[in-house]
Amino acid sequence: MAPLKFEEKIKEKLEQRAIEPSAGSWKRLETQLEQPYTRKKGYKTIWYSVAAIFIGVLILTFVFKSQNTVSGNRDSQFVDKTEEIKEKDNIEVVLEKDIPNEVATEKHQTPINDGTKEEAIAGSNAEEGNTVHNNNPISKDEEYRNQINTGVAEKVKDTFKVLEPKQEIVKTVVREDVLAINEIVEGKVANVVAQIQELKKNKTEVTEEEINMLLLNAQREITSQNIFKTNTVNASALLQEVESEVDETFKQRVFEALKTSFQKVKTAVAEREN
Amino acid sequence: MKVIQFYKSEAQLIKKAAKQHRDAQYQLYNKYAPKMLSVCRQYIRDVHFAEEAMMSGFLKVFMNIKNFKSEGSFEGWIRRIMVNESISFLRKEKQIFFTEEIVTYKEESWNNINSDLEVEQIQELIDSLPEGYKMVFVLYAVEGYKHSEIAKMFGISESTSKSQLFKARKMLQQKLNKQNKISNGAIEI
Repeated sequence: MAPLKFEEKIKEKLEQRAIEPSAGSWKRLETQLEQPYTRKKGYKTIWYSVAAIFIGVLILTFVFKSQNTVSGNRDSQFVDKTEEIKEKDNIEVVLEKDIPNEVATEKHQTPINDGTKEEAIAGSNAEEGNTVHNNNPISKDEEYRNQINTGVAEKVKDTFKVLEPKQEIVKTVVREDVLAINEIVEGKVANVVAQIQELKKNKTEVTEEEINMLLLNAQREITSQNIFKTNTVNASALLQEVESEVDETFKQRVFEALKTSFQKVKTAVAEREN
Repeated sequence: MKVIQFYKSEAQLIKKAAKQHRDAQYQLYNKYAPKMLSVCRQYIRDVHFAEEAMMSGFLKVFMNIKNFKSEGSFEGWIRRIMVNESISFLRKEKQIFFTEEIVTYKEESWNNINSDLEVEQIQELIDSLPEGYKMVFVLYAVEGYKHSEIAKMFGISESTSKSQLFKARKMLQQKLNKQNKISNGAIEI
């Protein structure tokens, strides 16, 4: 008997076989058939709810994260900016307010004192003048000089009053660069006063223009040195400086052009006459 | 008292069963359950476990009966479900092993093998085979699956399936020869 024949026999016999299932098998199957539908429905709703919750949580986390990142960025930016602003403010406050208040006040006293001295001198001069006037008549030149002296003192005061505190100053830590700036300001003030004194000694007349020029130069030097010291560039100050420079060059150029044209006209007229 | 409706044709029964008519489902169950339990029994040694596999098979049948296309026979469709269910049951139990060990068999003829075996005897012989041999043998020799299908089913190579069948046949031949000798009174010691 071949193996295939044997297998066919097995197949036949096995296919003919029937095993009766247990009595309660259908009941069990029936209950199982009932359950899956309820289970299925239940599972469906459960799965849907779980999916909905999951999606909701995902959306919430996404939104929360995005908000956090945005707020974080904002915060960091804000903090950074405030720090920057604080730093800037410190510098500016120091430049505009603290200098005169904390350090410059002491140092500022020198020009003011000088001013008062000047005033005193002027006053004494005036007194002398008055006394002289009583005895001898004073020349107009001397009066004019006195006026200039008082004017100089006032000018010096006014220019450096800008640096005096206008409002209540916030207590800030004075840094080394700020101290250096104060030193520069102090030095410049002293320098300007000395220059005016020298002018007074050397010349009989000190014009207002000369004083203005001296003060302007001093201011410029102070601002430029401030920039170098603090490493911060005040845009408006820089623009002003550049504008003034441009103005000067422009003026010079105009004058040069006028001069050359005048020369040309002059030579032309002279040549025609010849 | 429950009145059970009898449907004339199987197609009608299937349609009603698809609409979850319990009567139709019950009739289909009554018709096919004994045969299907026999199918499950071919793979699963324990009848109770075989019945469990059959029950879950029928559950699947009735759940997916609407997907049945009347292209092939309904019995064949149920049979396939039962086979798959039995295999998945054995897989859960981790009873399927495909041994690759080379066993040498003596060449024996099939001529003196008694073909008039009882079904119980055949089942006993099949049960005595290792799970891997049994699966491949039943699937190939009884159910008519191809080696490629068996290989796909178990995730093995076709050559493995073939070797399993060869070893199963040899083992069966030896066992049948032994039985014959016992029945003839020539007991080997």
